[in-house]
Amino acid sequence: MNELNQQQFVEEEGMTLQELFKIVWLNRFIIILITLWVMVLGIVYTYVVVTPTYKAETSLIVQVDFESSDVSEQSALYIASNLIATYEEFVVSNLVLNSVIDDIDNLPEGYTKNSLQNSISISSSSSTLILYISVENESPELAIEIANILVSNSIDIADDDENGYLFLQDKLKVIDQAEEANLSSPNKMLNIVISVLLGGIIALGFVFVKELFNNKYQSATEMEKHLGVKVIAAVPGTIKERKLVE
Amino acid sequence: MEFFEYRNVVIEDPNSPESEAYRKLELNIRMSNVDKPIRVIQCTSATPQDGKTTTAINLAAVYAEKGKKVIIVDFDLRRPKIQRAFHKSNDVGLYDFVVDDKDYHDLILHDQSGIDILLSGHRLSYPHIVLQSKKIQDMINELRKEYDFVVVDTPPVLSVTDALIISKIVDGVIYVAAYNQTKKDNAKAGLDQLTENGANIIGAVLANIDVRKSHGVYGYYYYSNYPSKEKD
Repeated sequence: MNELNQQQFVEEEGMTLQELFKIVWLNRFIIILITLWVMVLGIVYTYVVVTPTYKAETSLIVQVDFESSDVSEQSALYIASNLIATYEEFVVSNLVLNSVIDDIDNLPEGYTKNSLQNSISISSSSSTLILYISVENESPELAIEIANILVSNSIDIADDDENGYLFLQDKLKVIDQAEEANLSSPNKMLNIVISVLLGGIIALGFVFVKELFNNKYQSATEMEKHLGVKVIAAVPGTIKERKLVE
Repeated sequence: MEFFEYRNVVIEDPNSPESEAYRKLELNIRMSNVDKPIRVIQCTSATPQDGKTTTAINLAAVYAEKGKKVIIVDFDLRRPKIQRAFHKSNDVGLYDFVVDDKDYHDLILHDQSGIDILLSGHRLSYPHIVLQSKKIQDMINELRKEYDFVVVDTPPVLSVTDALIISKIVDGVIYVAAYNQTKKDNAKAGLDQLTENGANIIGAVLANIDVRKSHGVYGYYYYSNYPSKEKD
């Protein structure tokens, strides 16, 4: 009896991690199956469900003309870099966006100022005076058109004397026009990788929850702990081997 | 209707790990109370098909193997199974003893394995009343004198009260649960009923363990695989 007890207590120690791996190993087929299922869903989603969107990018520079004015080169650089943030807000202002929507005829139905605003992303780095403006759209042609009109309209509005946006006036110049639009989403590889990872996580979660809610005895130790009675024999599968007769 | 054939591994396959597990069971019963040996042993469980009968017949076989005089009594009067385990017909048994007042000695079958068997016989109408009778108690007391060990098979605790009634007239109870089958709540509830009734629980048996899957029984399996362990 003592020998039995000692044996059990020794086994009880340090079992958790081992048990964890054991659970994973025993349920490996379920895990693989769930992972594959989620991956298939991810692939179907990526290739069938999601409408691909394209991204067109333009760039422009913010510069202050120091030759014709009396500011120094250093000050011009300083002023220009401070204007970048202003332009970033300016380009997505209602004034500019509305002018873009007015200028493009073949916008899809239900395309609003909001959807336009959401499709624009602006990036700049702090050490340069260059701004990158990209526009996403389901149609590559439209993405290019919107990007170019957005930039040119914003420059026109800023430069217009009547508007009197003095800080931005004559300070914007296009570097690159949008010429081609690249597929921006879905990122097929990433989606598949994510779906595999997600599938794995869901599968592991499922298996662990299943084990957690398993209300049947999986080991003599477990039975002993639960019942509070010594398990005096652990018999390997005998009942299972009973043959069905009659 | 489906019937299972009960395997008496101790007889059929004496060197198997299963047989070793039953020998260990016998050892642990013996060790559990050295001063006052447990000789009338009840096998029960919470729910049906947990392995009561298999445990009972194999335990009896271990006693027989050790040269002890052992009898197995089928007190599962509602669904008797011992006759199937020993391939006997359930023609004579406790029914004749209770109703026809026959001498139980004449009703005992002698199996070639060395195990004596007292079957249930024909169906009794009120098993729980029969089991509470003084006649049954006296019979058990007589058997205790005549045999080294009396192994008693009973119905599941949660199904009927029979097991609880019998638990009072035996020396100890072996509580069986099946691996990955018996629900924990049921097992606990059944055990609580037994202990509330004052039953002497010798210990529990986890039956039908899938060794490849179960965590924590490798030790038993490994040790029980030693083939050289000859019994005297």
